[in-house]
Amino acid sequence: MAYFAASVDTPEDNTRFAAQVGADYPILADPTKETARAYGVLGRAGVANRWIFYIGVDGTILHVETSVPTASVGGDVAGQLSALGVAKR
Amino acid sequence: MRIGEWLKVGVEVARSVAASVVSGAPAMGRLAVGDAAPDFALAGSDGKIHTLAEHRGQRAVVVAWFPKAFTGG
Repeated sequence: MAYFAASVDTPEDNTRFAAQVGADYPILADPTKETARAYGVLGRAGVANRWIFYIGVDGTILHVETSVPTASVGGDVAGQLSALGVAKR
Repeated sequence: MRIGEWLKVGVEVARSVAASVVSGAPAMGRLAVGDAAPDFALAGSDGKIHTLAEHRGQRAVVVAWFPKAFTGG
């Protein structure tokens, strides 16, 4: 499984942010908001909603988690992957 | 009710409908389970460009979006 965080911040901001939170996963930068728009994740404030997209090996959307607690950066990703039958590799 | 009042009601109804369209279902309406996930090529905090396509046929991909760096994750 490949895990990413993503926001519409600049690569520079996300690189500093990743260092600050000690992220062991890449934080993707989408400053043009093109990808955020394509995924429909852009909120009214012009930034991404706190949603998690689960994409299958075949490249299709398996699940979209739209109620992610602020405190948990990644939400219950491990539990969700298990529920979806996705191997954690 | 006078015409003016009816107009006010009409405007309020139109406003609430517009608000629900704007706030509701921007994602679920356009991107649903089973849809092909749009490809992307985005710069990662690790200095690499990451694409969705490079993982297709290899592994599942999880992308956790968040609103803003330095605001709690």
